[in-house]
Amino acid sequence: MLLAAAVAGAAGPPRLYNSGPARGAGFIRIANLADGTISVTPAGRAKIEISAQDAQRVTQFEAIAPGKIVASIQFGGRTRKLDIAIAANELVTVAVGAAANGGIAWTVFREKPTDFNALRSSLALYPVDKTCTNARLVADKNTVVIADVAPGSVGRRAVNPVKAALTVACADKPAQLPAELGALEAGERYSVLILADRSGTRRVLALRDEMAPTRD
Amino acid sequence: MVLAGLVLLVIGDSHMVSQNYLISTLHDALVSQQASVHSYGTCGSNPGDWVYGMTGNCGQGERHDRSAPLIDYSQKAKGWTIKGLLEQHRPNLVVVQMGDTMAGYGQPGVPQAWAYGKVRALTTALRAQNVACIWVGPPWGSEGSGYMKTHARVKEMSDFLAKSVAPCVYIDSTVFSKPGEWPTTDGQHLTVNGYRTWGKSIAEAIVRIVGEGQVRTQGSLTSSAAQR
Repeated sequence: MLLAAAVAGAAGPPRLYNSGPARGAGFIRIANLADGTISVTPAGRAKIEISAQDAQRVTQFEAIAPGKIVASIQFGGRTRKLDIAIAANELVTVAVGAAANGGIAWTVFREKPTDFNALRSSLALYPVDKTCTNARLVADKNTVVIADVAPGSVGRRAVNPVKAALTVACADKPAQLPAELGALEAGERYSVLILADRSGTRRVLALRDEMAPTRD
Repeated sequence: MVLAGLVLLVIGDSHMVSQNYLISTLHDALVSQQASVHSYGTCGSNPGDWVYGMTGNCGQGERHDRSAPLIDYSQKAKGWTIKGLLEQHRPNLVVVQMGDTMAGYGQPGVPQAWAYGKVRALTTALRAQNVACIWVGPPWGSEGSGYMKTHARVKEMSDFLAKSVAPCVYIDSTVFSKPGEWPTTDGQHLTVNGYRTWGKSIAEAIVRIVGEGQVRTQGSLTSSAAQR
């Protein structure tokens, strides 16, 4: 019913409503680091296929109610059950790849960022390659932006939104690999993953983080 | 009068939904500056709802220039999208009033990642249309109500918004009063006097921001529309 409220006097206040998700929100995304499409079937939900094309390897962060996430992951005729807990305000990246024995392996990266800032850009470094110790992200050849990140950990830093030539390096290889993100945009968040393919060749996957639209 | 002749679109949450709330006081204050003002409020909405749409809400209201507010408490209404409102009104300036619906009252902290995603959804949509914007944060409210609002959390949320809403210019409503100075009816919503003072303070801040050139209000949507 549409009312023309033309008379003085406050109407009754609206009913109570939430000031955010009732139990908070965690976020999860999957990175497909295998050399073919992987399938992810979350419990009670439809199967998701994640391409091995670089532009599509990493899903958007999807908001979930904090708690356990169970999913079946399939690749190359193998299936493995993912069973992890995600806390409120936690951003989880599950990097899925092929294990040395041909099975499915993954590394779970966790962080609770508090550096949200619409005037800055946020860079994160994810050394997925277990042989990449003391990972670092370098701008314009010699300015260390993020240093000494251990494999399986996340390094993060807020920077000014500028165009910079970014590279990554590990302790064992002084040679730097390019991380191509283009001009950084204010308020955006970026991920740089250091990977190794089946032959052990190291390479970099760099992307802008995306949040999946939600109505929660 | 720096707002004279400008088209202003004001969107907000429940603070904009009832008679004598901001849909009355802020709207009147902006109209008195000879601006053309279109106000919309959707109870319980967060910024993402204005981008992705709502499936229902706890009431909504709209008001146009010197007309009376139109209030719908049916809870079946689905609000509006910023895209539709920008196309309909082609404003020079958008004023966003939202914060309480993202503060996580009763929870251990502000749900920062979630809230940032919601804020960015709306600011990205506004930036894509090249429209100037001002963002109004939450007032102190009262502690100890069913809303579980606390002064500490309001301060935390306001500080979070101040860092998150660019390119919108932020108006910190907590500087307009001392904690607890403006009584509420339910912990969240102010009394008539409170909304009168809050609306007047917001309007004065908008006049100052526009007067100082902190936002570019001339021809923003008109030029982008001409390029389409």
